[in-house]
Amino acid sequence: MPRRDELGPFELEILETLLRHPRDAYGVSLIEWIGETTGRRPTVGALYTTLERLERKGFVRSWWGEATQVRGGRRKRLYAIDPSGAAAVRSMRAKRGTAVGLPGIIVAGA
Amino acid sequence: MARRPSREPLLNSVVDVILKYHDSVEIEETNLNRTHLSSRQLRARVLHLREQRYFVRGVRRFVQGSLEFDEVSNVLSEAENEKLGSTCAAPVSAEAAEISEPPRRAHQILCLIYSPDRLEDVAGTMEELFHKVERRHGTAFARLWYWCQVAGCLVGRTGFVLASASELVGLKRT
Repeated sequence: MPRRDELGPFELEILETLLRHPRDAYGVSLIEWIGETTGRRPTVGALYTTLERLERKGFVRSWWGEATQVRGGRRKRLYAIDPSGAAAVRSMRAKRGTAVGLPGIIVAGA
Repeated sequence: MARRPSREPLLNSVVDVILKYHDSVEIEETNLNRTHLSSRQLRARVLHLREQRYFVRGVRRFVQGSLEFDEVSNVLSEAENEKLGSTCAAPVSAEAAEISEPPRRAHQILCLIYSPDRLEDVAGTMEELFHKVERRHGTAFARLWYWCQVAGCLVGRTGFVLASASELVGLKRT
């Protein structure tokens, strides 16, 4: 069974995206940014399930933004990475870097 | 050319409607255009708003006032043709200007999957993406896309609930 602080590939991808884009991250922008980076867009279900899991782990925090017409008058929920999430990314990258010789990413200001 | 002066106030009126009814971001952008009001800028703005479908909603409400829908459609098609450099004006039909809604049944399923708190965000994102997909690939494809996404949400949510439940049971055992 995976440990609670371990990250799956998609969880890591979301956290890295939130690190790269510390502002204005919400469902649609996250899908687009992940699509640009990986070349394939995640499904809405996969994104929200993973975001909810990350929130439960305490790696991501969220708050309500403004409602917009294009969303049918619904509010958007904005997401940001928590310091513990940034630490988890660093830790995972360090492990991977050691394991397969990949360079760890720089998470400045985390 | 003789008709154009009478159409300028019409476009201004449409922008007024948009100003009146839409949220702050769009209002600010539109206001910006109004301060440097030139016919070219105004037309570009109207086209942009139309692409974003905010405009159509504005027109719909505007029609409830004094203006006939066909008049607005003609103004739009004229502006569009000018932008495209075409000499042939094709009027925009009321059907073409209708805003598509996501499939109702699929949305109802979405309501069953998520709690009200999560639903607002997920449904909003789905609707925003639905309109983007619709603009690129058409309504039929967008509706199919929406159903597929709802199916994905159903599968993902079921897995999440089961995983949470098993985690809870596992915690209780220890």
